[in-house]
Amino acid sequence: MTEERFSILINGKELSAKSGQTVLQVAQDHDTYIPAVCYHPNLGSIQTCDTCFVNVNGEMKRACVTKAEPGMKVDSLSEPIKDAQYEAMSRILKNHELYCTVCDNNNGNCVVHNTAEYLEIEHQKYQFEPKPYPADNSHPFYRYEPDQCILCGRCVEACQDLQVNETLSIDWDREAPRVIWDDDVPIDESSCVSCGHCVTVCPCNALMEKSMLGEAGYLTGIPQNVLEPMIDITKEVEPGYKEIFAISEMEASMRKERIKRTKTVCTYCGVGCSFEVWTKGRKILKIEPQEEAPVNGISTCIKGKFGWDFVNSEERLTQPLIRRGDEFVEASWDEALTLIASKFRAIKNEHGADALGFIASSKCTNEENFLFQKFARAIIGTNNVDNCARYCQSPASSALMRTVGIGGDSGTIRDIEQSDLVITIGANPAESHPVLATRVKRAHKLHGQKLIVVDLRENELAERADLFVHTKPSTDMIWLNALSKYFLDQGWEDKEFLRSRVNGLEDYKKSLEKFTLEYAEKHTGISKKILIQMATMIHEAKSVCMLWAMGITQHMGGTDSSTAIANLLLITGNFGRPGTGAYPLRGHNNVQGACDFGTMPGWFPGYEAVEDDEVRARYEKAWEVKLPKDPGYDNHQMVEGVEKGDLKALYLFGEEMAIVDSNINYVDKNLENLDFFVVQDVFFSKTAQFADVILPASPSLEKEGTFTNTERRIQRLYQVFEPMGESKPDWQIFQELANKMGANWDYKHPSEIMAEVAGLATYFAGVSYERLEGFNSQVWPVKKNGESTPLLYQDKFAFPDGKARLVPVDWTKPHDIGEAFDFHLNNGRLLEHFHEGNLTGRSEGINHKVHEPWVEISPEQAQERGIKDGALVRLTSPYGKVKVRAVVTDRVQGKELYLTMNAQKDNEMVNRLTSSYFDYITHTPNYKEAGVKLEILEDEGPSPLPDKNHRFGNRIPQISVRVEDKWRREDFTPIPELFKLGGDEFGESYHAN
Amino acid sequence: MAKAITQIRRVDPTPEELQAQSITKIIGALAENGESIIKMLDIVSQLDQTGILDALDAILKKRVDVAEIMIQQMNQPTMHKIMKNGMNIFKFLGSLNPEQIRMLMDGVGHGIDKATARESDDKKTSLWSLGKAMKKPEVKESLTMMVSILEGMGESLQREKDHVH
Repeated sequence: MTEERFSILINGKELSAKSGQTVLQVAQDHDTYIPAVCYHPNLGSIQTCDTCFVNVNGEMKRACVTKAEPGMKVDSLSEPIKDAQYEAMSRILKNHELYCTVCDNNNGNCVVHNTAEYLEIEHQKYQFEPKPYPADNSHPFYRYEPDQCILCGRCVEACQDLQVNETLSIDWDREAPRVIWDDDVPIDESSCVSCGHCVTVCPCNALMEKSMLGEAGYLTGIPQNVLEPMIDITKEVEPGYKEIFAISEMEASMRKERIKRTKTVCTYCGVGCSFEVWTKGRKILKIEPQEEAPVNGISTCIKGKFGWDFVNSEERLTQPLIRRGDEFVEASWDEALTLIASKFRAIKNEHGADALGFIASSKCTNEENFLFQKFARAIIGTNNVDNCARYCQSPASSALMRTVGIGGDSGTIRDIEQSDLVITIGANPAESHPVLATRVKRAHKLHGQKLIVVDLRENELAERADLFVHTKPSTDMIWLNALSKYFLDQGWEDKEFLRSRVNGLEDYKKSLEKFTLEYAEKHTGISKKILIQMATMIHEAKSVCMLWAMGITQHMGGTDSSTAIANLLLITGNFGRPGTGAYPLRGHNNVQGACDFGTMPGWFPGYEAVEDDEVRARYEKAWEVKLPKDPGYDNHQMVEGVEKGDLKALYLFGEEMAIVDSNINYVDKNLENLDFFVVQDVFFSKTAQFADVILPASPSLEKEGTFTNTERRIQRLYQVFEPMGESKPDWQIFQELANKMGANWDYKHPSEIMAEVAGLATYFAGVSYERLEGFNSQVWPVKKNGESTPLLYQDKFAFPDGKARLVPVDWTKPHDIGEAFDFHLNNGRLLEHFHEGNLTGRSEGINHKVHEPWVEISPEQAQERGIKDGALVRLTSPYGKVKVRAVVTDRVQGKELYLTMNAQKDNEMVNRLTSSYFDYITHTPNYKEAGVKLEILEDEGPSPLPDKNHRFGNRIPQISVRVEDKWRREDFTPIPELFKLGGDEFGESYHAN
Repeated sequence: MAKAITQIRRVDPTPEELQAQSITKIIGALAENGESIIKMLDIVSQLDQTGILDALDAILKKRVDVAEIMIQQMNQPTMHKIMKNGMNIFKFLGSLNPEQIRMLMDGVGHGIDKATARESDDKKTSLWSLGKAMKKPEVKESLTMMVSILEGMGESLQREKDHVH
């Protein structure tokens, strides 16, 4: 598709435009300023502020909604236009007091300030009128000050149509309109999910992060009893705004001296949001997302926007610790590293290199993961190195590698948002990948995207979906195969695609024989009618993206189910085009990168097999050392290895194995049996309790490096703070330890590590820190010239013959726990806490929203067993037991329970209940195949879910801010009626991008 | 066998060690900036002798109270007027053309010189001589200018009036 290009005249200058662009967008593309207070590139046009009126071919029109047309003449500077803009701004200032110098939003980027200054506003034309509402300070993270609110509706647009949580609206029917939450309840009691969109887009100080208040300015910390008279004086004296602006600008530039703005990449889920962190000393003032962030733009979730308290937590490890008897004793780095080096050497000498195991971190950088596997392979001489992808998406990677060739998402978030039909299976993106989910919700709400959700639980996306399909646990593979068969039976398959681009059709067809609709209905519980409806929706969609997560992979047949997804996408021709593909959603910020950069027992960086002599020779030459040939132990085998007595020592960093591994009673026992255990972490974790040496590491804000998100996108993070105490960035620790063991590593900066990878691994040939500067990113495979590959398989699949492979797979029955354990136990993350909550659990504000785990029980079971919200229950599996309080909800059905993962107490952790069975191909534990008995300990009690939680809110869905209601108000006069340039055509709200 | 343990023995530096560390830091900084520090000490001692430091100390300690009183005082109608007038005067001065003002001031200066010279003559000025003086081009020039000023002022006042009605 080629875009039509033409030019238009703005203020006598010829500017090139693309079809579909508005006049305002053309102007902004060419750095030509037209005032626009309510317009935001990530939101589109809202049409409330009226400051963007321009003269278009002799008519006064809003630049934000007027489409550019060839030969158009636009003027934004002539007298009547300036007057119109001035009038619009004056109306805005009726709602907003300018006390910029003492305002915490005076940081050079205040839209209201800058626009008023541009329009040379001298005096308040309309008297400022405070609104008859007090400020809302109820929410832990942000406040709303109605008196400063200009009613531009950016926050509403962001909440309704970008985040699509549908909490905010403006009540235009009141005498004094204001923004309201739900049906006008305090913010804290509303359906607000604390994502921060509204605060980020607010063009003034009406919505502000509480962490900014009284902190950002030199004068903003002034107590109220002094501040109020000061504002009075300014108003009384009213020297003209020009002077106020001059002073406020001086003050704003002084702020730049002490407020540091640093780009970073979020360290929670795998979506890969990037943003600026604003800090003053060690205090985090706020997270400030930027339009230019390649994945998220200005979007964030509660964790990325507000969940950073852990960085400055007093509980951080700041000194190496060595186990002496029954306690850990603080030690110097030299002491700790010397001890580790001598122990590693001794164990290697006595038992061989394979007696040591290395568990890497998907929270740490690519460079750190690279150095860690280099340490294991080149210094120790073992391939026993793995990361936590083993617990989550290894089955998906493995399935994609065998069908289409590359173990990663086929495209980017842009493909997901432009797809005709999105199908999510066994995933809860609205809580686990919130920003990615916003793009699906937006496309579904505004652009007609269809959505099918297949899950045990009716999660938020399921509520919004065109079709929510409940399956019996562990049966997804069956309906996937049945749909493939139905497609082929109907002759709906993409014949040309299969002929020219896919191998193995005949064998595959044969393998489908038993997967009739009847067979599928019997085993999955999905009716034939629904199965046909699903197939028809796929058939009718021009493009399909399938998104999945742990609901698919954490089963004994996890790889096969993932393969069935890839097969179905191949049959329907949904690879290699925009808006299509397979998207295993990565759970951690750098779980993709950890795998990509080689912390896997069988792969060097860039998925080149360690068994491949040629590849190994390349690394041996570069590292000047002989490397082990056979793939090493994965996480699961390492634990088993301890039990068998093969594995004597373990070095683990940034991984909470003692909580997140399956069947932790068994894991804990084996950790106890290690001869020597090194744990490197930011906190004194549960796993660290088993260690012999604990090394204090620095979190992402205290170091540089890169992360790779679920899209395969590599992004840089920059250092915000100095490492706390004696803690060190992980890469420095690896280097020091390697050198203690005789290596001669001399990396001065992570960029040098990346340069080494680029020279060794073809996928990353063109990756460099220069090309990743600021908000720039690269999506691998990256050619030597730096060219990214956002969309895979456009020309060929990643096999020597360029053809994809249909791989026949069969259903693996889930682990049979026995009839005594009559409840199926599902488990997963929550929006508020990341994983088990070892980072987010240190945020007071987040804990205010959710502070303990709970088990969800269906209303019918609750009634049958006499369980009420807050009842205390004990769940028992063959492997252990937990004690938690219940929440009764129709999100779950029948005898299916859902236990949240945010547990810090030993007797609440879901992995006390899970087993040691696993996916037969990748050894990923079958976390989702647990069964339990349920006993009631207390019939009722305090609800584990605080009543001030979004789950109890009442959303008010609407499109945009309903500006038409504003225009219908009696006190509204359209601006063009006041000035001499003819009328305006008010259109529907317009939503670009 | 390594059981999970949670006991951590911290080897906190003794107060003496902490003090020694910080003293070393300070001495280093002093040595680097010796001359400036000595100058500063001199200034501080002068300030102390004049009692300024005591006053400053009190103000800083009571800063919120002091600021509140100051702001209260400033937030009075008369103070508002003073500030407005002050700003108007500044604006007025800012609007004048310095070259014209220089010429005018030169003229006024010269006029004053003349006036004082005449005083020493100690002769009485008759109405007749005043009338005669009107004919002098120098006097005419000055009078024209003053009338122009009056005219301009009138115009501006007229405009303001129109605005009000």
